[in-house]
Amino acid sequence: MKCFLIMIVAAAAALPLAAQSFPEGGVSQYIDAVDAVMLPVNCRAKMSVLDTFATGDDRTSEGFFLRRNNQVVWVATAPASQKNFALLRNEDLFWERLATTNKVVKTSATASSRGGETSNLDLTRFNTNLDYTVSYIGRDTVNGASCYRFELKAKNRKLAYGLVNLWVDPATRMPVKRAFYAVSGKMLKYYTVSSVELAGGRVASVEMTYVDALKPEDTSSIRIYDITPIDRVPAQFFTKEYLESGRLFPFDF
Amino acid sequence: MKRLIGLCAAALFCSAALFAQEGLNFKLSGDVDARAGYAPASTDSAFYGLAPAAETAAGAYVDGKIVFSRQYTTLGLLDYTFEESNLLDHTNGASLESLSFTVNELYADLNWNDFLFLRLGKQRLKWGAGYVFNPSDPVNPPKNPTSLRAVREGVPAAKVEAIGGELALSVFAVLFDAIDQTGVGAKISSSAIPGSDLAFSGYYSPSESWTAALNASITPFAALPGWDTIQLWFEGGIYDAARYAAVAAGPVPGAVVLGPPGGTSYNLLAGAQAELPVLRTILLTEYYHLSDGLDRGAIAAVYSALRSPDGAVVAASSAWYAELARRQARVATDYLFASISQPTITDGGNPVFDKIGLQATCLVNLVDRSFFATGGITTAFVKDSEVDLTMTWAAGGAETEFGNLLSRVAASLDVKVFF
Repeated sequence: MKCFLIMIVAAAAALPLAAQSFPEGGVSQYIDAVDAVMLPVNCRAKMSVLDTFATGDDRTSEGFFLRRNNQVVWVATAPASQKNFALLRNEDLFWERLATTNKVVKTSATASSRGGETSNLDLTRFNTNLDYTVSYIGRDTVNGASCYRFELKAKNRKLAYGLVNLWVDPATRMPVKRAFYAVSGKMLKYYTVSSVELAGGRVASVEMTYVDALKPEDTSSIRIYDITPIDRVPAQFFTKEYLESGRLFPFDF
Repeated sequence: MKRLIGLCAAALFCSAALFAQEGLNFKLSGDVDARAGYAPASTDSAFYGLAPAAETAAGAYVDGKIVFSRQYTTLGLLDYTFEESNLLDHTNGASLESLSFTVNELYADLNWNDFLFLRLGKQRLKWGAGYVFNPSDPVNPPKNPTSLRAVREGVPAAKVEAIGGELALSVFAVLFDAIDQTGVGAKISSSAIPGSDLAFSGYYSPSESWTAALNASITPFAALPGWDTIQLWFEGGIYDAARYAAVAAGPVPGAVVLGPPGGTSYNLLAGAQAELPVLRTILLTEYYHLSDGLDRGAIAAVYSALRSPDGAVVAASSAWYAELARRQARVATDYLFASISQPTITDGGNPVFDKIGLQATCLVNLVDRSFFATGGITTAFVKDSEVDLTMTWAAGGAETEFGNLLSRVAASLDVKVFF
């Protein structure tokens, strides 16, 4: 019995040691810093998406988005048939505005309103700590470079992927790869950063290539550019009423 | 005349607002739609022979939207439809050509501190979430579910809207042709309850008295991936005086005339939608109950009178032609609508099936058991363009609503180019 108690006390004492095994301090704070390198908490940016399929077919779309932490509105500007289409994320709620009318209907994190490999969550997921519980796994290599590897477990079932693995370049704090898993543990897709331009310790433009793990020939390339921090983004822009009104968003390119 | 004055005022207001600041921007979007249609008139219809009916027609539409803005806080919008149609008579080759230009919306919109918004001009006032129509809507032009082109026209109105993070309040005044039709209304809406949207609306005009409405939509399984696409919505409206006439016995046996509308009435709409995982098929259904709709006996009496071989009966009942024309899919007390659509057959890069979409809908008059069905195929093989083939089919007995549509079968081919 004494031996058992000693083991429990030793295990309890070892827990903080395990938590401190991440060499750069608190994991949550580090992940916030990683997110901040990628996108400021309040910002605007342009985005272009190219879906490429094994058949040789491809599909492009362009747009811009506004971010206010976990509130994101994404507005399509091309192709012409999709002008005015918008996707709104307000925390865990998703709405889409149909392109031909201003009718706004609810949608979900898992749906792909835009089509292709990118789910609605992929287009609007920028705050890792709000969506996931993060733990440090250890060192790993991506394309020959040594990276920190983290495991992300979804905080609720509304999110498209229950488990995500994240690789971060220690030198730049750039998230260079993410892999997304089904509940069964099977990898569904992953993305790697194919090009990045840094300015002042932050990403000025980045291109990520999403690959369907089950059909690796099918990819979606997302390019985020003209990333500009904003001091104040009003909460009104992330409401169904504002989206439905057809009003413009600031920095409507 | 009042509408014209309203539009001019909106245009002036818009101009003043736009030129008050620096940096003019404008955006143009829309589509050019060339259409050919075939719709033979049904000789069984009660409406057959009342107006010249064309079996074939060709036309073109430009549905466009121009947004002018100085900054995002100040904008003017023009939403228009330009239509050129050509009716062809296959017996003698004669054609009847017509041109029209409809201003669907023209307004100026100002933003104060991203909280208070003023919109003045012709505009659509959002009322409910109904897919086919909003039964409690007392303001906007009614939609016609049997028409293939959606109504986009708004009403001349002034609206002040305050939008907070979780609560929005709007107050509006609507200007119609006659002063007693002019009305005022208010709407309060909120998304504060997770997974739901709620809106309470009220409207009053001397001609329509008061209307109160509740709109609600919820996503009951938002936390369950795969089930999170299920949505439910509800619209309920109550109003002081029935909007439609009752059926009354006419001066000659078998004839019907317009009876006085009833008192306090109500309308209900309940809808549901779901997207099947992986397949991406969208299923949608709506049920309507209109308390001032007609029962089966009254519907039969109306169509029986209008189809009567006795000219005196038809003449005495003729007011019902206009009454039926203003209540498409609002004749009976109960309707059911169902839709199944597939945005594209596949979504994995197939060069053919990724570019073909399918849709079928059916609107059933539950009272007289007649129905109106549509089926369509959309292809998008050329970038920024679409080719749509749509067919409609109406069926029902001689004394039913959809059994008396002027065209029981119709087909149209649209070629759309987006800009």
